[in-house]
Amino acid sequence: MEYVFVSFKEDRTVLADGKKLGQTNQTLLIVKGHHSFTLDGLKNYRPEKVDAVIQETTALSPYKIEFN
Amino acid sequence: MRILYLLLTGLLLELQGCASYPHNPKLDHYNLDKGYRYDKLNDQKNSESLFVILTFSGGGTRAAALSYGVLEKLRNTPIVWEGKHSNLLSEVDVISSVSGGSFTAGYYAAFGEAIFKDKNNSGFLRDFLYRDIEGDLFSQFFYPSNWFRLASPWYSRIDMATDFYDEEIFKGVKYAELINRKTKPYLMVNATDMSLGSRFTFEQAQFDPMCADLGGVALARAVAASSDFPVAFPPMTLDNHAGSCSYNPQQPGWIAQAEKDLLINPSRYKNALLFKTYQDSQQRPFIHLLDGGIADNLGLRGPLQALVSNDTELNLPVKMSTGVIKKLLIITVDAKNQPDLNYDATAIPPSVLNVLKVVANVPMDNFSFETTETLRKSFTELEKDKNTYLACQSQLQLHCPDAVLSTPAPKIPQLDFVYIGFDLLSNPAERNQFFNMATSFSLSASQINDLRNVAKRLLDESVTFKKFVKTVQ
Repeated sequence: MEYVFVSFKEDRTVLADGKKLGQTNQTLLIVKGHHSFTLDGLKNYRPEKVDAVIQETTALSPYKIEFN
Repeated sequence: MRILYLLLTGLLLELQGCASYPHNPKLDHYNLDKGYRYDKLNDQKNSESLFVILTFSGGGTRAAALSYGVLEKLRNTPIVWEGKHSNLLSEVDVISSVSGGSFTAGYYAAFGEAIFKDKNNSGFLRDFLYRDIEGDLFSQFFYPSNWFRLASPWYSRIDMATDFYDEEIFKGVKYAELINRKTKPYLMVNATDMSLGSRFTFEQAQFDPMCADLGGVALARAVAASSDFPVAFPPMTLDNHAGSCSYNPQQPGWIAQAEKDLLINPSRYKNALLFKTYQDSQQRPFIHLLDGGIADNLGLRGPLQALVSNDTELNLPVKMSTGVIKKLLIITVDAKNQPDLNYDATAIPPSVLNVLKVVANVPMDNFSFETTETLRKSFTELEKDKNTYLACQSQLQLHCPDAVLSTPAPKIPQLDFVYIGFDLLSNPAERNQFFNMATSFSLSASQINDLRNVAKRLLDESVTFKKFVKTVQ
């Protein structure tokens, strides 16, 4: 498994490929490969989405995504 | 006389023409809020924090009896979880099954505790486990009504077997009843897609790209497909209605992403390609299914994929990441036999029949072994990730107390895998007794009793199981 950390100012549901992945500001498990990340609910964040290739991560160094 | 002949011929053609496999109904609209989906179950008696998955292998009545023994043992294992007294069986969230094991899994999902009715009452023991199913199936050939039906090209022996299972064992239960009941366990009956050679699971997520409504499918049909032993039965046919329910424009987001993963994650890429073949009803207007054992004889591939991928219906990573699952237990019940055949005792080459037996069984057994090893490795890797993080954190606190790691620890639950199989029996005579039991839908009462008992004993003797139970008592 790979790890991803999505930061945002508040606690929101993270969507990967349109499906629930977990909560913001937590280290989340994800399958290796291409993914598109967004937040559920209000579109009050930027960028609108983040496309990323998630690979070669560890629990200590997850792939970091920042929404503002 | 001529008129009578014409009338009779007409009647026969009519009977034959009417005979067809049951057409699986169309899905009007693709809707993730409807259908047989794990997330739509709402079983108040079953916590998700203690997440138990059972997988039941193929192996005819041998597999059905062994898995039944496991259900009995779990029912007699008291637990206290989150302050509530219950038994381990009531905490089973998912059962994934193949072939013979699908009868036990399907019956338990459909009728719950009624599966434990004694042999004197109508129930699983009387209607299936202790019954000569093979003999009863064979007797179906003597009903004249079946002669006409079997003469139809659209009705075959597997449809006749389905009708028999539906009437005699599953009492007409359709998936719609499981959907309405919303109770666990979530049932994953597995067959094999004959054209792709891949696993085909009876769940709405698999039926969505075909625009087919699993709710209208009889449970007996899923179980029959799962146990559609090649040659003994012809493949089962499903109708593919793809393109009629607005699924294709709204297909799950992971498919387009996974199509880019050929080099990064080939298995994810392959899953996407397989999935897409169901979306094309021009190329594949019908789907033909065979015994689930061809693709995975343990029923473990589905749960394994759900453990390591967010793309599946079950999606265990999200339940772990959000801290929903605190303990995850997977019990695999493997009724694999290993007839005592020593081909090397003579210089004469083994017969064609024996060669065919080896060709049919050896790759399946090797694949099953590889599947359990992959699951073990996946558990080990997750535990290693958790422990590495914790070790690093404790070193940091020791040498640099003011520092904190930039990201929190991933929430990885306690993970336990219990394998139940005859190869665990230490007594060679006893082991051979089970290894030499036939793959059939007709075993003697004493053989079935032995299988039920050995399942309980194997669980009792499992170090992992005993350790796990201690943590929930």
